[in-house]
Amino acid sequence: MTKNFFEVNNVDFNVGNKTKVKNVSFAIENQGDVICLLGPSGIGKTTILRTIAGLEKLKKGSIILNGKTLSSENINLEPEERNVSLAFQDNSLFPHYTIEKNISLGSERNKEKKEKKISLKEIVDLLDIFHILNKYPHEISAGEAQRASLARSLIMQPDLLLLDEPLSNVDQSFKEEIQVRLKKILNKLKITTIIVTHDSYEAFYLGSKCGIILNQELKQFDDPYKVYHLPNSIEVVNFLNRGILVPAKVTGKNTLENWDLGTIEGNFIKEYPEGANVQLLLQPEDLEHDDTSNLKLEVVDRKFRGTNFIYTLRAPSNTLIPVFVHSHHIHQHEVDEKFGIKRPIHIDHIVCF
Amino acid sequence: MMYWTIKFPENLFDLKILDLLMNTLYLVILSSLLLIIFGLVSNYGNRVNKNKTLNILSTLSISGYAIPGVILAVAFITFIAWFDNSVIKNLGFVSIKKVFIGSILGLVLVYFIRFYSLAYNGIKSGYEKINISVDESSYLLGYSKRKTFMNIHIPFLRNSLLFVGILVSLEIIRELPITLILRPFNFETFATTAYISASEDLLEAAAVPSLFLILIATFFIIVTSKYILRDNND
Repeated sequence: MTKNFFEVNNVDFNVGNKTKVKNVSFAIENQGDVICLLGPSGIGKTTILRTIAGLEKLKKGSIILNGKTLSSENINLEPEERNVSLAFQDNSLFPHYTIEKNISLGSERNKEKKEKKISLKEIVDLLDIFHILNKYPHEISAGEAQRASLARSLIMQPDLLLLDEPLSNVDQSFKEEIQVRLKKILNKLKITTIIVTHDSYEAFYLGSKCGIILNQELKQFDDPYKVYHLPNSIEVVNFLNRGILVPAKVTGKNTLENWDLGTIEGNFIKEYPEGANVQLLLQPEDLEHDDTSNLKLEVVDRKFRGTNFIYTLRAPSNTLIPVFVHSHHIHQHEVDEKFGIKRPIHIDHIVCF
Repeated sequence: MMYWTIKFPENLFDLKILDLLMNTLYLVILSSLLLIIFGLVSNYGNRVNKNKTLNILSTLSISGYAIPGVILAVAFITFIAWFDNSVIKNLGFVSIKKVFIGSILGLVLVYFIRFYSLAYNGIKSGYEKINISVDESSYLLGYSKRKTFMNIHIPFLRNSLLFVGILVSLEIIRELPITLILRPFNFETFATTAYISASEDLLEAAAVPSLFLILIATFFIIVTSKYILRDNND
């Protein structure tokens, strides 16, 4: 049996007497892996991190890090005994110390034990916080405080790093750059990390695995590609909001029929008996634009998303279908015009419920 | 007061100013330290251990400020007398009246009951400015609860503690009924000397201790404001 670096086994995550997420199990196989937990606000993602950090008590299940039980019904190591770092979403910097002192406090932990893989200067340069080093927490912006807090957690080089919405206050223009730098630094330091976010793109970029938490449960824990393209439940589809479910009938081993779109071909993820009525997951990239096609739907909306336009088309049954078209595509359509869909429709992985 | 002091300078030499100063400062320092230490510890206890009983006890303990000093002093004497007669003597122990009545210990205890509210609430408002996640961050950086208290809370609360110290000191310096009733024999402070002189219509004699009271209070306020201003500018 492979020994996982980190394991959460059948844990109920509680705040006081209230259970926020039930019966959660997942594992991080290797040291240095990064996973992300996604879910709507208030679902209990932060509670999961707080429990792993030892700030909330555990009543059921166990949490094991590198073979050592951190929490179980009988064991509860104090936060200071875990060598786990949590970067809070809100500013948790020590208000009476400068940012430099705040960050250097992180490096004081484990300084005898660990080889220094990164210096204060390197981390400061990576997170672009040199200009705030001599300031106090109340003198800097929320985004800068978040980066300073991240720097303090990273320089600590913990066995397990927990990041609670680490970039939620960072400016959108700078966010992607910081994501790239964060990924690089986590890779370099080989710090096992759990990131909590509600930004699915952030999760898909940073995590080698993603967990989706919905309705008090961990619904899916898989690699980002599978979470996106092969969601395991209707709840996950609705949460990711990257497609719609349309009614269809299975007509063969590789085909099904939709009243609006006609025949759809592809490979079923699960087997369904011929004649079964299913809900087919249709994602914007599944359909292709083709002006010469005889399948034409009415454009009801067009959103510009940088590299793409997302067209929302109305089918004869009144279903609204999203379709991606590259923004450099030569022939764009206005609202109320007709939009052709290439036939036959082919979907690589057919996901039905 | 300055006029009377200058006009009758002999009053300045008649009074044992150094003794009065020492007595007043002795009471102020002892009581303020006790109040700050207990205020700090109970606030810290409430912060790390959200216990309802502890909360109720804290609320009850701050009600002393609502009771007039005279009543508090008389109640204290009555309680000690009753406890001494009904419990201590029945158990065959030596009377505790002398330990608590007409002693510095009794005086400081009643000051404590009377001014605990000021100390507790002053420190509490300082604590409310420290987000609880600051404590949690500290634990996660490997600091124990004791280290968090010493390295994070105390430095951050420095101004609040100083402010509370000055506030209770000013209250104690000018406190009269409790001091008059419970002070040891021949133990005078500036406040009691001023009161005794004034009650005998010796207003010019009351001027000197009153002036000293004002000087001490002003000194405290100047030192504190300078310290707090310097800290804020840093």
